[in-house]
Amino acid sequence: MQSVSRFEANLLRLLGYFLYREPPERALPLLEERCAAPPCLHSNAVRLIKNALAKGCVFLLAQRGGWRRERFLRGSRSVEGRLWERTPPAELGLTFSAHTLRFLIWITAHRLDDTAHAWCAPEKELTLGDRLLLYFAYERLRNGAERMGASALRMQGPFRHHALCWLAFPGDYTAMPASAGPNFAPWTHGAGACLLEALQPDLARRWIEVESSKEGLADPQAMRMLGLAQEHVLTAFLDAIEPIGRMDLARFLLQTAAALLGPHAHVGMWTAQLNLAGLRVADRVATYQAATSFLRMLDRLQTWERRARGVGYFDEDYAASQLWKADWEQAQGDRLVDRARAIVQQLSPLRQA
Amino acid sequence: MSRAYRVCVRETQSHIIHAEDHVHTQLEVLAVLPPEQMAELLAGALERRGFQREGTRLSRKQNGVTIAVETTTATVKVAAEASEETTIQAERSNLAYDDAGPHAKVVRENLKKQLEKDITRTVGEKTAHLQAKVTHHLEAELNNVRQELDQVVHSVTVEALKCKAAQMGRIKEITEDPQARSLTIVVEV
Repeated sequence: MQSVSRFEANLLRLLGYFLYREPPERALPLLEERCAAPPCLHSNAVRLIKNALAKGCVFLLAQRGGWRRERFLRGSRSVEGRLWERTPPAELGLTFSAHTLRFLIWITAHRLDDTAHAWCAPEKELTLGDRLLLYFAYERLRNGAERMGASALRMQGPFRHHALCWLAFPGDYTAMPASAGPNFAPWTHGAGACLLEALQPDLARRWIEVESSKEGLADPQAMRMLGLAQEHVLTAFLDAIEPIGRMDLARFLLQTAAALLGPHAHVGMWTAQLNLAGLRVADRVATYQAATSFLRMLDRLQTWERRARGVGYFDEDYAASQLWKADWEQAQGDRLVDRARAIVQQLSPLRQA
Repeated sequence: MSRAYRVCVRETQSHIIHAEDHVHTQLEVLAVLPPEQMAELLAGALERRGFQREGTRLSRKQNGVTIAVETTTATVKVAAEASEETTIQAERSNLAYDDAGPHAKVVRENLKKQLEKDITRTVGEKTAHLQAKVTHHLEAELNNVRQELDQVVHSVTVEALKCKAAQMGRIKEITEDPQARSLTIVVEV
């Protein structure tokens, strides 16, 4: 039995909540409470935090998609297996810096919307472990504590550029200034790319949710902002993975397209409730373009597939090309693109006239 | 018993209101020939329809709508705009306790502020009305523009196919059915 102070107990409970080990009803009241931070944490508490991070993050990664037998690139060849079979576990180790501890202390001691004592950490000093915990924390807080100021959280330094948060929740970043773009560098190499592989099912589910939500969206301005945020994050993501030949990391986009663009997909799935009365034609077109930002992006994925067809056995990116062709074929990419184009075409201003 | 004075403020302002609307779209020109040749064929087809050439951009204005085509990218901008000079008169009145004293001054100042708001609102309404007219006009014209651009793209494709066939060998026969929009080229290679 290890004893901890009230503050440390609250901190551990919140950490448990972020790692899906505590139910919201036990953790959310703590976000409302202010509990003065002690000068330092007891070694017992630090030990428990380390233990929770080590087990909780690994468990979540395995549960989210790490357990699946998938094929991804490892260097110049593609490897099949579970995440820990594709990469030796030693290379998957996560490091948590003092910023994780500072974040946990801050969130226990202050309210989320406390702008006077906002939490900040230099982007470059964050480790992969820090970033992963921030992602899980943000995911939990946006779902459970949006009204408690979770929206203020994403305006704070590390969340403004957190590429995984951008990618999973583009709709949350519609009010971001143009300078606050996602930074994909940590997620496209080494263990960061492995985490992105494990989270593919999560990302696909999120994008299906976002695209499905467009059917009920009536406000053209909201649609335009959502479409712009989607375009912003997808362009940054595809720009980041294309030069390094990691097209396989975009597999979740194909899965999303396969789920959305069935044989009965129709234009109403993106624009059914849009209220365009009284709008200029130019604004209507901009709204339609925003509504179909995901569909139009599929053209770029098709370009990759066409290019992959011309890559020979002795070429450097042969494995990457073969893998992308296999993914494309499995998702029936050409058929999906045809359906996407037909929908985009129906919303073309000259087709509607 | 005190008397009330009626303070009346009138204002007349002239405004030029402006409204515009536009559409950008992409022509679906098949890449039968290299891009430069396709752009040249497109430019030629547009010129035959009265478009004025300015470098790689061709434009034509008709019925208050400007159609501009960038031939290298096959992008089209169809735009409509209108301006209108309008004179707005507004009047407001209220009661004051004195004729030219401090209260009358306050009332007059308030009336002026209200008049400003009235005029701004009227300008907004007139601009919205003009904007609706411009948008409606553009929508009405888009149908004609679409048909014309479809014909242009069709003729460019036909020309490009003939050129391509000529490059492949000797053209023996060309059969064109405008009703079915089909073209048959027999080539001796």
